[in-house]
Amino acid sequence: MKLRILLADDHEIVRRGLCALLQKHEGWEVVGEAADGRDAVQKAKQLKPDVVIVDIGMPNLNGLDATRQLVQHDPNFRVIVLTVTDADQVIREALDAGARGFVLKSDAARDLVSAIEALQSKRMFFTPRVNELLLAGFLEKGHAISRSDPPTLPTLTAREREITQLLAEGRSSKEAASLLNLSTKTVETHRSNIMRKLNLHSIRDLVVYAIKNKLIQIEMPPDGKPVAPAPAVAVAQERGEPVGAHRTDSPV
Amino acid sequence: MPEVDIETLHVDEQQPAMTTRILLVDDHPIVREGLKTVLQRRSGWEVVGEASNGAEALEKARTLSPDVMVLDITMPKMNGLDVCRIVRQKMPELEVLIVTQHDSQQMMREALNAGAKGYVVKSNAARDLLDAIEVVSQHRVFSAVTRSVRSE
Repeated sequence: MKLRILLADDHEIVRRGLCALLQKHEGWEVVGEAADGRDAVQKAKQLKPDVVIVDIGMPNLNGLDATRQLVQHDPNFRVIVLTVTDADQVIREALDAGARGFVLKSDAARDLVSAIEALQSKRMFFTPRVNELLLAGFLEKGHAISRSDPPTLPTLTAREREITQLLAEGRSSKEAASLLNLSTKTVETHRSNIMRKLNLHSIRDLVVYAIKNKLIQIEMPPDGKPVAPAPAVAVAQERGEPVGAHRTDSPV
Repeated sequence: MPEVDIETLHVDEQQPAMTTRILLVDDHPIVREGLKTVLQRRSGWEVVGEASNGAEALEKARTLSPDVMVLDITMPKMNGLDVCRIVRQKMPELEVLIVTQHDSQQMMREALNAGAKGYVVKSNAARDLLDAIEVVSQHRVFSAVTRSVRSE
């Protein structure tokens, strides 16, 4: 029986590359592809793959929240997170979200096969960097630090996080409602709750919050000056936020 | 002596099969693999080499003499814009097509000013890559309408 794999990445060219890599393995089958996190969650529930590979930086619903939703729906979902950065916080969030594998995109051609084989054998797979952190006991320390930080993401429900990402990406309440199959009024109620919970006063504050908490990504050109999404960057700069340090994923 | 079709011979000599030689430059092997799967659709095109950073790209461009360089912007060692400027100066016959994550009119302008002949956003690469290479290999400019171009 073949191992069934679902691929989620917003770039078709990356999905094609991954498919080409995985199809070399007899006994593995790519049963579906998704272009954003929401699509990934829907297709995973529908197709019930053995392994889900998710990119972190995706529109509509990022890969970490998609992982959270999948694992919450069924703890047996085996998710490998693909990312361009092995920054400590991203690693911690991927582990917290329930990922069982963590692979750098730059090393995917080398590590992804090993990661899938590990999950196939009910083991976990992480890049050497994650192993280093685990060995150093860094994760425990990191959690201790984060507990003393002001409450951030955990104060929001999964639905509120989804709406926060969509609003911060520049969508209106009506557009977010349409994407989530909710009424505009419901989204506006969620929006009010989000603002109240986080003590935010404007959509600009919300954008800054989304950047800081890596719900949206910012592209960084070679000169280090962010180019998009323009509203988010402008707001972050206006607020003196170190934009480069807050991005979820850098461009591939 | 076998009969020879002089007409056919003449045509073959006049129109030799032209191969477009392509160099792929991206720091992620998986992206290069994806680009190759798209390029395989077109007969007469050949991926003659790959590079994972700017310095390697320039070295391979020099040794392999490709017709088109498909070039990422954000890469280690030397970024794509700097590669582009050097290619324009040292290898003017080599056309550069930028394939990047940056969906930005500003970045597209910078790339074209640096000497690129075309600009494709990675999210649209599967759709636009073949047309773009076709155009730049004929020494014409290619730029697809992107999200930010529409909104700016």
